[in-house]
Amino acid sequence: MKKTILGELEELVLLVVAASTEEVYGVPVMEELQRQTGRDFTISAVHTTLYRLEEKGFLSSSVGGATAERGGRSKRLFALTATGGQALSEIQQTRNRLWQSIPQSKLPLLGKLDLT
Amino acid sequence: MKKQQESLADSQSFNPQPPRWVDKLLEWFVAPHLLEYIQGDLHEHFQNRVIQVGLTRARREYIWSVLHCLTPFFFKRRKTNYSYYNNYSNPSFTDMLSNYLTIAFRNLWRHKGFTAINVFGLAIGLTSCLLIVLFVSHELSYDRYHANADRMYRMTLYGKMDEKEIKLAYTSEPAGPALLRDFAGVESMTRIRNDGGLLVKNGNDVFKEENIAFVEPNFFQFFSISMLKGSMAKELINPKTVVLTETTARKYFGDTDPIGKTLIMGNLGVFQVTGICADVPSNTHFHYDIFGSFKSVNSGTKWLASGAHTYLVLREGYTLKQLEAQSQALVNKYVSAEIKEFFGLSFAEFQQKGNYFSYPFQRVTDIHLHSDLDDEIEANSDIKYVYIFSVIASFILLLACINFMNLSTAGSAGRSKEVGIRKVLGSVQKQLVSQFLTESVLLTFLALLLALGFIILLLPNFNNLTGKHLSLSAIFNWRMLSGTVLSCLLIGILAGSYPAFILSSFKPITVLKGKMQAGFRNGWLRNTLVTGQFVVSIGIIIATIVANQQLRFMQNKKVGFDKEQVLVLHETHVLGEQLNAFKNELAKLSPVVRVSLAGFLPAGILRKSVDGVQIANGSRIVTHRTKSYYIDEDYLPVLGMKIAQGRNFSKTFPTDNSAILINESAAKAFGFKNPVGQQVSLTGDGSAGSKRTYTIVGVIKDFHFESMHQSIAPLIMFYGEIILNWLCVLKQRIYGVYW
Repeated sequence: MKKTILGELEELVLLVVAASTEEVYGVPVMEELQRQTGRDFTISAVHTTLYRLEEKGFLSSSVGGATAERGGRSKRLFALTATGGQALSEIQQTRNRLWQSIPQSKLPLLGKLDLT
Repeated sequence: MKKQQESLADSQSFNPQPPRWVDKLLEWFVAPHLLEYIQGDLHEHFQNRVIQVGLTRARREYIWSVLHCLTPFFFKRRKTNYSYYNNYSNPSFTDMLSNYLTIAFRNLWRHKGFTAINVFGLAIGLTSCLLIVLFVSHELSYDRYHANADRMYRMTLYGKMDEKEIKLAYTSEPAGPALLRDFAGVESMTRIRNDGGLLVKNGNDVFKEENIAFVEPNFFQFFSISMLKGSMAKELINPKTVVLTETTARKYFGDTDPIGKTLIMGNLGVFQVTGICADVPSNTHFHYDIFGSFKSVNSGTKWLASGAHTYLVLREGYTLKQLEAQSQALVNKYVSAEIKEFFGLSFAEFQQKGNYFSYPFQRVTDIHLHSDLDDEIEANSDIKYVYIFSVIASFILLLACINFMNLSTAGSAGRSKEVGIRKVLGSVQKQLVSQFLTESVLLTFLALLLALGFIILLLPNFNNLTGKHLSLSAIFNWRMLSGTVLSCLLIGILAGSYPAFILSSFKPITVLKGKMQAGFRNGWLRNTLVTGQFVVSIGIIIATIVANQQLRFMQNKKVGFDKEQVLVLHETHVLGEQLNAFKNELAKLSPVVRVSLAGFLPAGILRKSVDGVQIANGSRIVTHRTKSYYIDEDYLPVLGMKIAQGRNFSKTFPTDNSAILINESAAKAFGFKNPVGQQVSLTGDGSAGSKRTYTIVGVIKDFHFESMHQSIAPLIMFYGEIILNWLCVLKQRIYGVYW
């Protein structure tokens, strides 16, 4: 199987899902994304990304409870799968490796004096 | 639980709601398996935003975010691998369609004969229909390409003088300029003089040109005919200049540049070529090849004795009514004086006698289909033909469709088992209907392909038959093709719908038991269709037979002259001065009985020269318009025309130069009881010297020299003065009698 590549939004969404302690569905994911990045996201974009991640096997979903403000409609709840976690940690490792390979002399450019 | 629901309902009624129509849009657009969750999230977010930013803004944001959902992702219905929805395979629509196509092709292939008949039948229907559509659309396109076609009119002349009604396609020559001068509503005006054929010489090459016009300098601009060499407005200002069409220029000058070269135009002298214009489009009511300058021909100054085809463009904002009122003013101002001069009557007296004189107008776009006046530039068609052909085309198409439908229904009867099995396996009626529709649409398109092939093969013959020059581009352009493809789709769906609904309504259990359904065999609809089909085809066959008999009647009816065993040599003028010697040599040949030299042939498509004839009838002078022929003394015997009174022309009478023969119709029209010896005078073009007096020496029995549709018109035959001529050679009629 070819290695699945994660887009930026996909990575962000996956991280939000991983970080969340509450029920994970469209609205909280979107709000969290907005809070963290300061950018506006539409529900449709978030949904599309969630479904795509599910398709890739990084998330699993189940049907959750309805509330009044949703007009009695159910939520689709998402949870991180083992593959999803693995993908995230792989990304993290790649990043770390890259960070470590940055020569000391260039670190001031990055606004970071000391990595350790 | 109950309580929770109540509170839910309660809170809902208080809660502000997003706009209903946006929700509707969302529900319609988004695939059902995604709808609930996305809508729920949208609503939840909306409620949050109401609290945060207020209702109005929340609503706006809601609309915005719903619009963001209108992407293919949300539209796509149930994709295959959404495990949470169901685990069965969910073939998409196109999968099913390709299956239908496979099955359809297999079926068609298995019943090759049946398919061939069905496709071939429909293809023939489509071919005839398409050809007729080509013909009709070409007919309807006449003169619509001119720049101001919607405001373009032709001035005509209607009048009644001495019991004789005239309706002419041209009008008095001074009328056009007078109208342009007197009436502000005329934007531009152009005139065409059409003086018949001429012999055109370029060195040793001599051609008889029939399509020669003398036009004003603004002609090309007026009719949007593009100038290939030379400028549009500057050509044809001087006398003795000529503009040729591209084809004609090539005919005379080959590939050399014709500008500045000269041509000898009959008796009009040497003309200089000053321009080359594009060929006149086929959908124009005139097709001239050579355009001489208007000033090259004597301009007529008399309103009653001159003629030019006159066209004008009306300024926007002016109506036809105003124009007609103005033209009546012209009659009062100019024509009434001439009526006094020609008839010796005041205009009031002239009118009192039941006469009238007017210049009506007709739209240039109407000329080809609606105008049937005397001296049209060329024979026009008739809107009746357009209607008749359209009706025939739709009937043929209807027949083909009914036939196609019945054959499909009959052919698909054998497939009831397939339907039964499909139903048992879970097909619903809708799927079966679309399967059969796919099949019939496929068949229609096969037929369409075949029909297009037929058209490519038949178009040259079709052009011969209709006298048109339609090219393949007339059908292979996007407008025509898209129309055709669309209507084929429609035909396929309409013709396929009946078998589709019949077949798909079978009950699987009866079908699989081997019982055909009763309703299928005696379907009243099919019976009606078959009957209708026969009615239409028998009707068309009868119409064809009648039309054929009509044609045969016209060919066989006694026309008043004998056309058997007569040979006609065209274009004999190329012999020049040797013509008489040639004639004498021909007469010496043993099989030849007589030879005649003539300026006109009966029943040919010829330019008719019309002359005003004055008869001194007791005290008053009556003017008639008649047609005239120039012939020699052998003409009547060669064509077997009979003399009713008097004698034929003869070389032995030197006075015959001013003698004429008239036909019986003319004698009646002129009111002669005893015509021989009477004198008539020709008005000519009204100028001094063109008026001559002739003596009638004989009366010829009437013969048809025009279309059979027309009654035999008054005819005058003159002796000699033959410019354009034919040799009529009479071979022996009955062996032994003349020998």
